[in-house]
Amino acid sequence: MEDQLIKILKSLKSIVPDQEFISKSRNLILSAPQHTRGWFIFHGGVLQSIKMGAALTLASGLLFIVLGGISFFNVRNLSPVMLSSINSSNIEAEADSVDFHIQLGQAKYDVDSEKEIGAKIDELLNNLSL
Amino acid sequence: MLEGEHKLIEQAKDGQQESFGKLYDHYITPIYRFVMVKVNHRDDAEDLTHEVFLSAWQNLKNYKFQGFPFSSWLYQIARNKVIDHYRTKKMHSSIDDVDENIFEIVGALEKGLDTSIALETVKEAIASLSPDQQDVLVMKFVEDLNNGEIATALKKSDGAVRLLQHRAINNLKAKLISSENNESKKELTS
Repeated sequence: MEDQLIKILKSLKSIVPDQEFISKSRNLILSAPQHTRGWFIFHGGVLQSIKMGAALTLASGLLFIVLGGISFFNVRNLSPVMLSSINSSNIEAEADSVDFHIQLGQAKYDVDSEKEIGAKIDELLNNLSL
Repeated sequence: MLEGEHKLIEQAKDGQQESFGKLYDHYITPIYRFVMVKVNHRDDAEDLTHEVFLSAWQNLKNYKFQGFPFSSWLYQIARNKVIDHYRTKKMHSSIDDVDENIFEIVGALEKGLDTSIALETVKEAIASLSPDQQDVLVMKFVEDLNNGEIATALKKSDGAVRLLQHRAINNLKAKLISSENNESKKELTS
């Protein structure tokens, strides 16, 4: 079977282009200008640099517009954590209450430590009197 | 490989149209055939072949001789043109779209061959192969390129080309055996 396959594949050699097409295409190609070395340098180097520069410029411009837009419209109105539904007086009250808890905790610590110190002093005095 | 090819290329690089004309005359038929087998339409094959040689002529200064014939470079361009052709037109090769001209020519030849395999079946089997496998089959068995030349054209190693060739033949065989079995079943049921 392989031989038959190869025979059929070889029979594809009979495919040939039309002579009219060949002469027309040949004339058109040979009358076309060749790209010069300058074209390759421009296409390969300068053009790529221009593309890269343009991309960076556009990206910078976009960033400037986004940042400028945010500051222009006021971030307070856009930011989800700074929504107007959150009352600033509530936040202040919460902050005060936190401070209050800290003060209570400090007082409790002072009282407890005072008792301990007192007990230690009594113990030392007892030892000295002995 | 065309005699004095390297010299012709150098002259063509300097803009000598006559030298490129000789290269064109030598390679137009195999490149056209390669494209024709891939796209299966005469008009498309002519347009793409023209584009291949136009691109080769315009970009000839980019070509560097690497010990392989000029054809390897042309096949590379042709492959890219065919890929672009399918990509831009979003066409998919279907056996129904195949230009009958190609098979009329080959069909005439088939009569002279001692073969029991129907050409219609073979063309279906070839169309179902991967593009790389089709390329290898055409380059190897139709254009008689050696593995080194095929490897350069396909930008693959020699080993990969041998593997592709082996798989292509095996896939063709498998598809042909399968279609023969189907035909036999149809005949039995009818």
